[in-house]
Amino acid sequence: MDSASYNAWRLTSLSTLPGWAIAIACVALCFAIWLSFRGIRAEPSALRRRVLVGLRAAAGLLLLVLLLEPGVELRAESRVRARIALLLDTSRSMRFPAAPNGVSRAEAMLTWLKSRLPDLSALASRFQIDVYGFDKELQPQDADKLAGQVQKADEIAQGPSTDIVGALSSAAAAGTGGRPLAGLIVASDGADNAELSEAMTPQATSELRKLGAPVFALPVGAQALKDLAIDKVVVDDFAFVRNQVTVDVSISARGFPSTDVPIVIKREGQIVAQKTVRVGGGQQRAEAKLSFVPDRTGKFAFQVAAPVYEGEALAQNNSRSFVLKVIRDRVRVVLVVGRPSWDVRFLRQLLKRDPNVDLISFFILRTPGDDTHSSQDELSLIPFPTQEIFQEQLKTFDLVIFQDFGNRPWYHLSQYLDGIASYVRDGGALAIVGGEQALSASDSRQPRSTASCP
Amino acid sequence: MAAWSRRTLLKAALAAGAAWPLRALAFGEASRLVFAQLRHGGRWDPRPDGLPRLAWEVAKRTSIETSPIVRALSAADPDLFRYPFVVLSSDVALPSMADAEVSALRRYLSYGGFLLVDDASALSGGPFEMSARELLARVLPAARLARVAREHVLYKSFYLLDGPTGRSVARPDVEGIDVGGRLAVLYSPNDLVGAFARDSLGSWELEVVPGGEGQREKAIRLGVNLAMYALCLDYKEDQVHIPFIMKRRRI
Repeated sequence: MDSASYNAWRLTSLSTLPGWAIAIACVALCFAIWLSFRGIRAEPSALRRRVLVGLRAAAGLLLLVLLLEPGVELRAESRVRARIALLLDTSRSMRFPAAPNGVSRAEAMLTWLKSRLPDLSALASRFQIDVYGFDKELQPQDADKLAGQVQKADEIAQGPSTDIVGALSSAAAAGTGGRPLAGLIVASDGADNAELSEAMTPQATSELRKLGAPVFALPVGAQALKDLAIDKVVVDDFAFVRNQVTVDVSISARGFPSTDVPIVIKREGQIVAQKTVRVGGGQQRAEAKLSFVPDRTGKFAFQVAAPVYEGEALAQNNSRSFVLKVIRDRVRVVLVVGRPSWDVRFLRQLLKRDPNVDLISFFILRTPGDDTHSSQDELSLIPFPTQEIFQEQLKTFDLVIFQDFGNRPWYHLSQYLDGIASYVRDGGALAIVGGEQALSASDSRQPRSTASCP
Repeated sequence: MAAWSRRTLLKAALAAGAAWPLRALAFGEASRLVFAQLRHGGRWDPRPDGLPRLAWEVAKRTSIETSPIVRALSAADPDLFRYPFVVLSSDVALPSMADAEVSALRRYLSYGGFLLVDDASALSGGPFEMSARELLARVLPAARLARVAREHVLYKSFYLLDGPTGRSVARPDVEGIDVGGRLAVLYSPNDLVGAFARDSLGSWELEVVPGGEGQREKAIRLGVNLAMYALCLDYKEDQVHIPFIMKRRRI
């Protein structure tokens, strides 16, 4: 037995009897000693009584010792230090200034590390300190080496994203030699891209609880960032010329009070659409729908931009570009008919069946001289939308056909004739198809709009 | 001055003959709505005063121009194609039609013609109906008569109607055959044309049962809607889409 490697000892029982047997034996012995008291009371000599009781008690004790079989256990005890994991955020967001116009967060963090090195050495006697750098994954680092690289802090902060909960779980699992985890310290700016990107979720809470050790958080960066960003621009790949295009824009603002932000869409420097949206204060995100109408076919680059405000951390995320291909639309034809007839039916069917033609027809089904024998709401007739067709929407049509349009309806259109003439001069197509009411041999009064015909 | 010889005079007369005035064809007469009645071997014109009156009503109530004359043609007549609205009617069973007539009718319908088959007897399941159904099965074997739904544009082509009617209400629905997306044949079991029949002295020839004059007005409206449908087809259906088509483009 090599007693030099053992540094502690203790008493123990080598008995193989179960606990209850020893308990019964003790009780029986006490009972026996008490009985002996009773037996000895008859003895007159006090000395002899004490000697007899003492002898019986000694006998009982020896019996107990025999039963218990005491022994000495020699132990070799050594102390093992617990682990502390120190996690330092090395993601790119640490390059932002910790305070406005101050040093970067990474630099502030490493300065803190350098100042705390003596404290870490003091802790090292009782704990093993594991230092890691983390962004997307965990990498072991050397505290002294990091502390010496305060000036090159921005070079160290290169990580593409931050995952705090993942880093903590990995650090807890990376125990060496079965050392228990005493605690974790995480130094970060909190700009997490994974589970904690929005807020503390119940899932994150349960995962952190599973770590089984306290987590101490060291926030880096005194203030929240001030930044306005265009998060997302959603638009179709292509659009039809002269048809409305809608662009969905999502913007987010951090560190802003409630502000009205004007958003513009530009094409080659020219503004094609703009909208003002309120964001900031309690509302971090806002959505806006901007629309514009492309007037030419081709492939164009558009830019969605929001103004850059003072003190913003990043100016590059205030604008986004997209490419839109504008293609030719179908031919838009409006067929205006003075009176239904077989010719009208033929022309309408012909145009309707053509897949390249977008046809809108308006027939005059009832003239002022017609008596329908009913009230207006028993008819399916709608009022002729003269204003809408001949004024507002006229320019959106490629071809206007007047078929069998007699003089009386032309009279009602007299106020629009100039508009129609300029429509033709600007490139619109006009066709006048005769019928019984129009362009017939007896018709001597031509409508003024024929002045626009060559 | 040269003397007029007989030869020159004859030549002049011949030349003048070329300039003989022909009947002037007014522009647009071909585009008027002219009803035609199909002549067949049996009693083909049970309601002679019905269609002229319908033509008058259509002209009066709508912008459609009609002709008061109703043309009578047999199905084999090549002129049939000049009259895109033709009515086939009888109050007894239709006689069997010749194959040439059946194929002419088939061609007529597939080229865009409209046929109204009207049961003047208004007897549901009667001899006319049986013979008419047989005939239509021969003319368009691939298609079948189907009930015209209340949402069909026929009931809203001019008047807003809640259903068909006629001189008598034998059945609450009319049936039609669809050819290429349009109703080419309409079968009316209720003697529709009979409701229009009005003599030249101005009184209605036939009593309308059971609804009386109110029902007659409804029948006239259905007739007007039919004429409007034949000319405009699904134009009224378009109107639903106009706002969307208009808004698709903005300047």
